[in-house]
Amino acid sequence: MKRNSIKKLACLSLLGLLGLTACNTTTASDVYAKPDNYSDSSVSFEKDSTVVNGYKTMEEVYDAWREGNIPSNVAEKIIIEYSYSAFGKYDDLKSIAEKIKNKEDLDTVRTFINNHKVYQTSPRVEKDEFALVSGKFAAIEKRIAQRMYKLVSGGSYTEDSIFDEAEMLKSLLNDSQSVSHPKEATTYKGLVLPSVEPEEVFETQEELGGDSLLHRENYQSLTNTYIDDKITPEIYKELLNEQYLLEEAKSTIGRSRARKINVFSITARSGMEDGKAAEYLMNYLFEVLTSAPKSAIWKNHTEWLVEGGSKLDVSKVFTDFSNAWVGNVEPIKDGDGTTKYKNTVLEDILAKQAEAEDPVFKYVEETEEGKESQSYYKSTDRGLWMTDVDKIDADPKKTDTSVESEFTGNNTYTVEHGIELKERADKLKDYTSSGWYIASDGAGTLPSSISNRLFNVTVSDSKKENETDPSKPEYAPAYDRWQKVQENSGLRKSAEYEYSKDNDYGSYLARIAGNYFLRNNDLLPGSEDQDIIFKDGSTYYVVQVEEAVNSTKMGSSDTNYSSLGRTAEDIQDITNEVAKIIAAGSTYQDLAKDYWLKKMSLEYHDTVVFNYFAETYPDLFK
Amino acid sequence: MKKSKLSIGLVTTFIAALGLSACNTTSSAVTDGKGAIVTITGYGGEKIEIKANDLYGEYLKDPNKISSFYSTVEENLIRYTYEKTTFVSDNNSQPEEPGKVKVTLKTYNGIKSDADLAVRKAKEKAQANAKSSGTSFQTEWDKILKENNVENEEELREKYIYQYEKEEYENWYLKTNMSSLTNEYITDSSVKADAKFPYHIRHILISLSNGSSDFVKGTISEDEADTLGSVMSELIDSTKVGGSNSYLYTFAKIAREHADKGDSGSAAKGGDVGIMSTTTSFVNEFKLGIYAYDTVFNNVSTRSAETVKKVKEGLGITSEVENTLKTFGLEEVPYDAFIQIGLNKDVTTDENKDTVNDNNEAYYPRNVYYNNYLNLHRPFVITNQKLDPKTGRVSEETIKDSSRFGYVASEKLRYLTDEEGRVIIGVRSEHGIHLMIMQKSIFNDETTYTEKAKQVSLKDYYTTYTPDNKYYPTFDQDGEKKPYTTYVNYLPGLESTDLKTRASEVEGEISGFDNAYSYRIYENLLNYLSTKSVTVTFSKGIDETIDGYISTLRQKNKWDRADSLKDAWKTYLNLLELELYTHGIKFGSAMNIYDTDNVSFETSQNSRRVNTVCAVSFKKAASSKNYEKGGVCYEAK
Repeated sequence: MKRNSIKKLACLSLLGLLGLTACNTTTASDVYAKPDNYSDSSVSFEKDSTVVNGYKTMEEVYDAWREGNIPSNVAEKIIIEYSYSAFGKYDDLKSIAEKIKNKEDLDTVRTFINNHKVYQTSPRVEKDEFALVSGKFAAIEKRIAQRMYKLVSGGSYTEDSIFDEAEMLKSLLNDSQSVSHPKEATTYKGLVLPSVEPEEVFETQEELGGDSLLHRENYQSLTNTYIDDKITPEIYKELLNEQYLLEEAKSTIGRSRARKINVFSITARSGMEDGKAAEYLMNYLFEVLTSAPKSAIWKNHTEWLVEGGSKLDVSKVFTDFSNAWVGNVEPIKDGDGTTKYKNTVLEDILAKQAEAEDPVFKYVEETEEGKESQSYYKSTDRGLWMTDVDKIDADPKKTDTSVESEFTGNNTYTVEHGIELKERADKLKDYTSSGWYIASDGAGTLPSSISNRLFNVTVSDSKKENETDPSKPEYAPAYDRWQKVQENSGLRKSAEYEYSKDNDYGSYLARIAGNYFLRNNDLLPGSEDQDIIFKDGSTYYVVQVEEAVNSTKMGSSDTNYSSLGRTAEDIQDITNEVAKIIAAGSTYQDLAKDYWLKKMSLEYHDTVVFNYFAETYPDLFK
Repeated sequence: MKKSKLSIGLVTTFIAALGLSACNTTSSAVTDGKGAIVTITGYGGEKIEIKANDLYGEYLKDPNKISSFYSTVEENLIRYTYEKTTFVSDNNSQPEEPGKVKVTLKTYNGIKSDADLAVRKAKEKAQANAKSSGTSFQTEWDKILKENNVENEEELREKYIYQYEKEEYENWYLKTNMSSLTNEYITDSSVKADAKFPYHIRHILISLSNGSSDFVKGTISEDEADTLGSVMSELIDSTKVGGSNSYLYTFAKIAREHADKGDSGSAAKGGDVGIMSTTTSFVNEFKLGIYAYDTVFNNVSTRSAETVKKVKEGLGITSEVENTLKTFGLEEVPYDAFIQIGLNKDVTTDENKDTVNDNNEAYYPRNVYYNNYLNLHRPFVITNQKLDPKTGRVSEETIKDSSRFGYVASEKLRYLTDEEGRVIIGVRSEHGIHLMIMQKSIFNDETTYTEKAKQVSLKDYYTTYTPDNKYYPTFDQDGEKKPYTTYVNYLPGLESTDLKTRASEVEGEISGFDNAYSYRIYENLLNYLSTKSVTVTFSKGIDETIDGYISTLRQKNKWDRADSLKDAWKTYLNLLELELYTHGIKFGSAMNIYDTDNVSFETSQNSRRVNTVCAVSFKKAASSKNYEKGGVCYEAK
């Protein structure tokens, strides 16, 4: 090699080595994106037109922040800003959704969609695009409610089972959050009843005395920005993760075998009499759920019907049966006009046992004046502890000291107060659960024997979507166990509806008077009729299937959701819910972040921030 | 050789090239954003800049980040005031005004000298450390600089200067504002902080080993019974000290004598537990018992309705709490109950030396009297009443010499007081029986004292000076200045070190009553500069952030205090409710109750507390109808 070439080689090597050592250090070439007042004094003093700057400038403060959390905050901020650019900021999106709902100023809506590609369908179908926008806003609103509900149900602002919204406001104010002052705000104080769904946290409820768990204006108004500052940005980040899924892996939604279910579950108690209670309750539940349309049960319990009365609202039925298992009583006008503290479901069951001397759910009425509300039904949660109260005796030799201690909080309050605390705790008990689940995650606390059946592919085939077009083979009512009896020239009908399991599509799901239930194929002889009741050990389950997703329904064929008559809003809701679960997994979160950061084509104007990204997201630089 | 050089060169180049591409931190990767930290391409292809002003600006508005810049701001304010204004000279040249505290400030030059001295000492320390640890001076000096978070000697000197200026200013602020701070501390809650409504309390504690959760069948030992009896005997003893007007047995003396039976710490100081404020963590029975007695049951006609209302609010006594307390009522316990406990301290068998009720200790007379009269979590006063020897109940008869019962409740009924007329309030807590006196109530009813030394205002009572100090509160008597009796000197015979300790204790209370106290200094500085027509400009509105933070902190402090009081009252009232309820439980059918002559005087159901007749009938249990099977005192195993 010639001498010059060797020299060149040496120089290059030296430069390269220098470059290596320069890596990851702030050198003279350090680029620092400083705020305007970087070199200003934190405080300056002016007297008689003479200005004296303070001893310390903002330099020290800013340098510390830059080396501290600023780079990670930049990473957070760009995700949020990007998501705003994708979906539109909350206030804009809200305004557009309102216009769609009111069918007004649709040109503005169209301009918005044109400026936000994420809402554009291919091919472009306006009604579907409008549904995308409305669905996105609806999803945000739902999630705001769910996140706020988490604050309520977390227990931090609850004492003796009583939630106090004023305490929550105090705590948030102490944390310098922008919310109403409790002295000037309308607030709720009371039980967080399980019948109030998370999405209903801001809605007034009859069971809350016409009040709502939270008052939205305390957290989101012209002056209060807690939701805007702390809640909405997190939701936008979630939506961006899901958007990645929708753009890059939409088929995973269909393949997820997502199910939306409602579950009722109780465990039989031990002991002779109490052990039968669960069986009695489940028998009656089965009777209700399999009752014919317009049957006596439907007529006597209109509170269990959906609006319009076309079918049972299974979640309402489950809630009432849950209260029955707890043994909750409420004031009801008896036949003679007096007020008694009763439970309607248990009264129905007792009516069936009218001949029995000692019926399972025997009603024990408290007649002492002022204590009528302490009536109870045996073999319920309430009944069990009420029976315990009877063991407390004025005579110290006869009293059960451990029971007395339990009801007095170990001698810190009276028995009456102890009873009050137990009653409140009972009102919060809930033997139902509901939600969306995907096969890979399992179904909450359902045993595998049940969840394996739930996620079987046949379930989504059996869950028919077509409720409107009888000419199509996927017409749902055709598979209902209850079929209208056909007129047969002159012959008198014995009943308006006829029941048959032969109508089922497959052996996994049963459609009964408009509702779908998971079928149990593992039944004891003699109980095959009750094939929607599962028993695992001593625990009973009934599983209502509201939605069952598969790839066909999510796809583009003529048997997809849309072709089968599901509304665009429903489809959006299903897509959003399933995408949310899938995208919440850490794998997808990481993939989504990398994906979007790459899409952002980042330009760096600060060396420390650059170094942070180089170290934290090395794939960005490949 | 050539080949190996070539190889080395190629390898080096290769490595360098790899380094260049992997590192990518060439200056071209990071460009000047003209105020932007990063620029991104939005979803729709638009450019979005994240501005440095916005991001750092958000931090400046975040009250949770205030600690980052508040100390910088405070340093600027103190140093400017101290060094660039006439603050020090104005203050030092002001003539002393009567009744007003004057604090002389060190001059800036004086502080600089002190700082120079401190730097020299630090250098000497570095030298000494180097010698002892075998290192160099520079090494040790660098260590000292690092410990002080400075880079060089000059910065260390500046740090000392600021430290001394701050100390001077803080001391000046406290001393010159002591009067207004004391008022705020005592009763004048403000937007800045809640008052602490201090009580000066003394007590005699008779420790009881048995747990306090048994409301009806608690037991006390023979020794404890003896102490209860002895203490009461001395409290009611009207013997005077040889020819003088002073009682032989003062409250302090009794406390000291029985120190080993209770609270030895306070006993050594004559029962002084110190200042009890709304945030002092005493058991509820003690603290809330005093509050309940003084605000609800102690009706003193000279108190203004406005003051009573203010105090009740400050002590967390809502109308609900007050009504509940009134429902419970103030318990009146006859002094004779204590005496009988003492007299029966060792009675555990009947007159035939047989055990009674299978030796169930609940029936020992000392325990019967204890449960019926002293086992109370609610406050009680001690009356001049005797117990009926036949029934053990409160009788019409009163003690012969009622001179120690200085509070007249009604024509015949009087309450036990200390030697200076303060009502003694009793209560049972987890520690034992407390017999408490309010050495100084928040209502300052003591202005009704005849002795002028005791006619001291609350503010002067909580002076932070010792009697030898010219600022110590005094009154005129016969042309002479006499010291008031205050928290500092109320105990006669205290050494000067003790007096200083007590004065410091009060100063600590006053300077510590506001958790956000340090921000008063900040506000004071701003106020001073404003009076001197100095316009203070903060960078980027950080003053608003600081103001917001201070306001939030003050609100939080108030809420915390109110919540703490509310919770305490709730727990306490629940307990009292349970106690009353338990005491009132009756069971079984009605039966005759007999006196010691076996004459039935009452028909009643049995209760969970052992009836008092069981105490008076105990010795003759074998023949007492009360102890027969089915009788009110009969209890088989």
